[in-house]
Amino acid sequence: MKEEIIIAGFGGQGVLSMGKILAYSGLMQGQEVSWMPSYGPEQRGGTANVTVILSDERISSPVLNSYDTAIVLNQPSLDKFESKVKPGGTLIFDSNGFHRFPTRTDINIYQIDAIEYAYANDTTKTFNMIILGGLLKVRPIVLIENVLKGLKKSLPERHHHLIPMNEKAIQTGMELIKKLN
Amino acid sequence: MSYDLKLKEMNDSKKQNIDEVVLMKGNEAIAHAAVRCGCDGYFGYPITPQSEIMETLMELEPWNTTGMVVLQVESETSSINMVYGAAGCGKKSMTSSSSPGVSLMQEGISYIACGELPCLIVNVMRGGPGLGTIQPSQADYFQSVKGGGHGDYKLITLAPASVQEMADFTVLGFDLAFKYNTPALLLADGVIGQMMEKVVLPPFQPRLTDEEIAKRSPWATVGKPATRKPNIITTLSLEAEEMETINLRLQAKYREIEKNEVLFEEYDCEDAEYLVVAFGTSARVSQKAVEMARAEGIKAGLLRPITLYPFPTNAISNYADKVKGILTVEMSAGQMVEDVRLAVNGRVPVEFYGRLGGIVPSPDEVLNALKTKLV
Amino acid sequence: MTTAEIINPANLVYEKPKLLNDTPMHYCPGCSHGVVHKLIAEIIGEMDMQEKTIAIAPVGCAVFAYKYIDVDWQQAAHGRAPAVATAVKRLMPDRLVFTYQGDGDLAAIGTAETIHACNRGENIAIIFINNGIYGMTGGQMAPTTLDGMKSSTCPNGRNVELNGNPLDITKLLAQLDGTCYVTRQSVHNIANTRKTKKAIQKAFENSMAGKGTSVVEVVSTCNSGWKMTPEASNDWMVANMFPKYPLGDLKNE
Repeated sequence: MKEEIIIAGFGGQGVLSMGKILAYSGLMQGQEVSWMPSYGPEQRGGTANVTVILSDERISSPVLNSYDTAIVLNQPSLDKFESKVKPGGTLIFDSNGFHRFPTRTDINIYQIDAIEYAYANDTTKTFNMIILGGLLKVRPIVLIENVLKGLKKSLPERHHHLIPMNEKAIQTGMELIKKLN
Repeated sequence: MSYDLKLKEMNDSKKQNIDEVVLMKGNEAIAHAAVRCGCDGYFGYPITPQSEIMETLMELEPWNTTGMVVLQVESETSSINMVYGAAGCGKKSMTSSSSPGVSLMQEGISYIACGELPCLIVNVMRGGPGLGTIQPSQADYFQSVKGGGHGDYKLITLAPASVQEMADFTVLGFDLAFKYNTPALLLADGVIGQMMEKVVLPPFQPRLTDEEIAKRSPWATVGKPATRKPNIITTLSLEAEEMETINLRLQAKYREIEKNEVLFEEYDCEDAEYLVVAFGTSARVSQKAVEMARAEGIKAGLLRPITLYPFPTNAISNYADKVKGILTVEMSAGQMVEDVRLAVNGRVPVEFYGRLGGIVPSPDEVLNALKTKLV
Repeated sequence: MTTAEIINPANLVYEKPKLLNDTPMHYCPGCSHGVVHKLIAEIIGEMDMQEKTIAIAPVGCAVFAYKYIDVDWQQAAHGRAPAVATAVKRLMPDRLVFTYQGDGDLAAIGTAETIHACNRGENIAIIFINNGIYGMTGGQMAPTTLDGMKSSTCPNGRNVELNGNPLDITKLLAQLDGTCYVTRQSVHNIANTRKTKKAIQKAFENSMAGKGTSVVEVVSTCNSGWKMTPEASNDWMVANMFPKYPLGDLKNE
């Protein structure tokens, strides 16, 4: 099994930390993982993206030109990465602020309006976990129990009480995501 | 254990104990490995994309545990000279920077090499020349292996291609530096520094005591007891004959290093008709290109130099009699390719593909270059 | 009287400090360096610190200081002595660590290293020989060269409009919170030599007591570079250097 994922959005949306949680989940599942962020000015408020690879085999290139799955959380990210999804691959987007929607017909397109939900329910802190839940619903690449184990390993102990809240957000994401084509 | 075996063992995840496996950035792995291998002192100045090294050290606060000194100083010029001072006392000391900062260090590195002082220098390369970009690059190859500072000297240069190797080569770099009393350079790039992968950190080794240092490095300036003459660390000799003698001693040492310390890794090379030569991030990208080429029926293989100095000249030379052509891939305008061509000496075509200024080539581009230039 | 009767401890009026070895010094006759070397060797001996001392030599005339005083030495790159000393002292806090630097080394190429070591309050002593000229390279203009003073790179005298002002770096270092003792001395006569010895001793004691950085400037002559006799150099220094670089403590905390 090998899954090559790009997650892209605004800096501050939790794009990098979502990728990190995914990588930790793969780690707990005994997979090879790599997490390669765009770094620099992007971290400071522009667009941010991270490439996450989970694989049963040794990972060669951490830098890719096409992806099995793209998660795009703003318009510039959709514009940049829609064309880079492999045919038959998956594109997940949150339509908040979008003026142009995905148009490809050879990939599976999913919409998840997590931003709207998070604001309405005052759960913006776990926004990225809602997205992760959506991803895991349509691409069950890691088990939820390994996500929780990964959280436990990556979070400092004083934050472990937040894990149930994150689990709930994952469940919410699984319910929110819908297929468009 | 040969490096290959060690690498295989480390990459065999089934043998890894999950509790010992951590996920971290290459830069963070260097900091952890430094503390764990008994480093005495780190001196540095912040620069992207390697600032996490000092940030991690400051968070680890090793002065409270192992007693390691960590100091943020006024410039790279100062930090490399602090390394000179610490190394002159026989201490295990290091600095880290990125390309523009390493340019500033060249004076100090030349002094350290001449003074025959062991230390570790880390360069997490970014695009140049000038202030350049903060994105990954490999354009400091010449500076690293051909002598970036003045005079005839060499730097043992290790090129990690994974986060695990960032940790392992921190330890190995110090070991080689102390084996030969010479500076070692860990030459990474922004990708390896910033990316997170699984890593098993090296075991803790205590820092050496004063007595152990005096035994290992009897030349160190630690205060002169009545029983010996003063120890003097100097790089000056006004007599040309004397300076030539010092140079000949350095050259003899470099020949020993060239004989003993070459490291490289081969991937799918046994039946290869086309050989790709690349190091660091370029090697990771090229490995994927080789996988794609194999899937298309092209018999490609990858040779990854791990030590850039000493360079795996013989290994590459041997392939010149077996393959139809060689492609060198670098994140530069073509620097290592000159050493590949010297090794091949005109026997087969040696082509080059590179991206400049902070762009990482994609596996597709490398495959395309292989097909259009060689196959 | 036989030789044995003359060379007799009872007749001894002067003894070379034990730490000053027999290597012939390369300094010009009349140069201040030899006197300051002797003071340092005396003080380390009297403090019984030979086994604990690591000294840092500069680039300049004093680059060979390590040949004359029998302690462990590191010779630093030009201007970098305070950085080198910082690391040595940080890694071996119980040692006596001092730099010995000239004006070109300390106040031109090494300005950043000097200021930041002093600002961090490194527990080191800095012995600063200020003779207003680059001696080793053959008498070029230094940052401390006086207005109108001639050198091989300002043969008609320093022109402030062209070359900028003479730099009183010691005054600047006294402003920094990290320095505990900043003083300016000279060795042109016996009284001042004694004062300089006391100053260097105090600087060394401060270093061992962890009080911060001590700077001892010794306003000096370079009779070769100045193209004067040693005696005329001393007179010229008193008349011209002292008004710009007046002797005395600038800071003593």
